[in-house]
Amino acid sequence: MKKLALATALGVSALVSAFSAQAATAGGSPAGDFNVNINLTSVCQLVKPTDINFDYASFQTSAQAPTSGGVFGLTCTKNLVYTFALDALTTIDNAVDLSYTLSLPTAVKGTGAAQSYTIGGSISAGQAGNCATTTCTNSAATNKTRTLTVTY
Amino acid sequence: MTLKARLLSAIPLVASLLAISATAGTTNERFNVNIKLAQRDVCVSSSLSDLTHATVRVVCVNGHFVSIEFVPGRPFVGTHGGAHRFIFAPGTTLPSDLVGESALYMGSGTITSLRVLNLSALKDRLELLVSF
Repeated sequence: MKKLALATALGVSALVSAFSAQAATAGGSPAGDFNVNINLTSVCQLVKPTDINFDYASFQTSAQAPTSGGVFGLTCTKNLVYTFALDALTTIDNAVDLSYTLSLPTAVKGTGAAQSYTIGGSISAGQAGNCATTTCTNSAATNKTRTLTVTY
Repeated sequence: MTLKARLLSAIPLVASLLAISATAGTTNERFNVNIKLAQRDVCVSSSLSDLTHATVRVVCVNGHFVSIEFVPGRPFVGTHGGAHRFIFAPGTTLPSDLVGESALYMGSGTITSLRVLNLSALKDRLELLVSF
């Protein structure tokens, strides 16, 4: 009877020890836990817009859209909100004396992947322009360069 | 913690958020706007010129209006008295009826004038004189 009582006592003691160890592990003991903290700096990477090209005939009766160009790429951090701006929306080219207007696409927010946008433009109808020969280009213009700015 | 203490403790957080927004990033790129301009021939429209008693120039290929200019001595439609342009070189004498008084150091230039008469009362007249 004594042996039986001793064996029973040892068994209970072992069970209690095992339960206590398990409780210590699952119950939030600070031993060994740590956090991983991350500071993420959001950015946008802008790819240079392609040059915008217009072909215009003096006194043409309808407005002229660009024949090509104005495409740029933008890659931003996911969900990063950004806006576009140009240094000038309306310009009178100082070589061919034509007034043109540029328009910006609607900005959304970053996706983490490259997004493609296009800058629009127009030369209004009925302008004379300045050209001493049959055709001219504005290659000598000093105000033909525009700057696109992305703010985020 | 009282409400006041909570508000005070939030100030650094708000300040840091403002600092973050104040240091928003920007990036920019430059590009060119290239224009090729084709000149078009300009013609004088005889029909429009006759209609207006003026010289009307249009684009030859499509008749798009370019300019209108008076014919010296001939009035526009709806006006009477005529329009005139005088061009004078240095040292020339201006017609006496062109200027009210002579200018000693008058140089070369042009004078454009337009007279509009009221036919029912011929003494009523409107004159426009531009000289430069």
